[in-house]
Amino acid sequence: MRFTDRPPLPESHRTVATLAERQAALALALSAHAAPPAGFDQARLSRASAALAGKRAAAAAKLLPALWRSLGAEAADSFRAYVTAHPFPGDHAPDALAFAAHVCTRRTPADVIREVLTLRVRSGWPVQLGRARRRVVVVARVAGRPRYLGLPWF
Amino acid sequence: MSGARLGLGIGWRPELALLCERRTDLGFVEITVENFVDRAPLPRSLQRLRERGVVIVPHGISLSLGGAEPVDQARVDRFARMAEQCGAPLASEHIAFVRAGGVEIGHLTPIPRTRAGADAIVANVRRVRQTLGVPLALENIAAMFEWPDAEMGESAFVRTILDESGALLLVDVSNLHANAHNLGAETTGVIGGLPLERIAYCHVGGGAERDGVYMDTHTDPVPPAAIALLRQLAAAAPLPGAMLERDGNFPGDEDTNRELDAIRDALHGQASIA
Repeated sequence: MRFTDRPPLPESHRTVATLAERQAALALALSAHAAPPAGFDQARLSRASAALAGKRAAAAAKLLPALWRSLGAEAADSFRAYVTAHPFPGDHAPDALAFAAHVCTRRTPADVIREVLTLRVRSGWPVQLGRARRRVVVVARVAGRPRYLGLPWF
Repeated sequence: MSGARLGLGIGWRPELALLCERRTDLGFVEITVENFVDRAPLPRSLQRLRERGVVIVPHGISLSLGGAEPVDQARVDRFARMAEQCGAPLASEHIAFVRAGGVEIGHLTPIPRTRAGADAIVANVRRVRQTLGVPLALENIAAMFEWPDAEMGESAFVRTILDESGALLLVDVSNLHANAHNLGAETTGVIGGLPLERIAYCHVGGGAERDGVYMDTHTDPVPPAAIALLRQLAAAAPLPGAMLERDGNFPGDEDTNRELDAIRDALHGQASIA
């Protein structure tokens, strides 16, 4: 059977599939600043996207106040840069933890690292910290909190 | 009539627990399902309210009923468990989607007012109703943008969804106000066209204008326009209940009580000084 001989999808199935695709494109545009789907008011969509990023930033600042303070005036810009590469994970705790992994360096103060560790323990979210993970462990030792090292996701 | 008589209510938050216990005229409190630990006992303060006869209404924000994808059964199970645990006479969710294609949006997002949009949410509400033991009410959301291909107006769309799914209506008057302000939607026509006989209860939330856009923040005072809309609704149909939504930046109890008084007076068709 040639491709063109295939019977068309039933009408109802086709419209639902199209809606699913359009919703997926819209979700990406809103949560990760991807190219918006055709036909939408671009200005309104980017305003909505910025509002969502602001909502995520406010939640991260509330969950990790010491981290936010340590970033000073650059906190909001850092979070905006983080958002473009990280769609919302569905919950604010893993979002804040992923942001922490994104911005924490060897020079991050110990109290900030402790705050990040505490949120990981409290929220129970196993987050892949990658290279930052080693730094977290090292600083945690320096800060005198080796008991955290026993937890499985460290 | 759409079921339980609820009276005056408020969105229960830990910061408002004392106010809720002190306020003797509360008929119900609404709790956000996602903010509670699954299968854990309810906070003591909520248990005391329940013992006093205050109705607890579970409110979901993450079912994504308006998604083209089928609703996640694990989330539905948890939602239904909460309704059962609270002994709730009904539960509520939104006419919106919050995820698609594996991407979480993190916010209630509008769905297109088309046949396909209605089909998607009706199918999901039917799925939920197979598990949920009590009626489900659907809330109108505040939208910051619209889909480009609307085939029907706001009220016709809501009516279609309710007729086909058997759901009740949760009218958020602040969201009506926000859409009127931001999208040029017309509130009087929408209110007149809504199936008022299916209203389960109403939401009244605070907000603020930023750069010309009205934001439904729930962290700012209730705008007088929202109270006016509630009064308009109450004049058009007997309302089973209405409640205040406040999620943060909590003012003193005096201010919150004044907003509750204004909602109670509007609910009963009385003028209020607030």
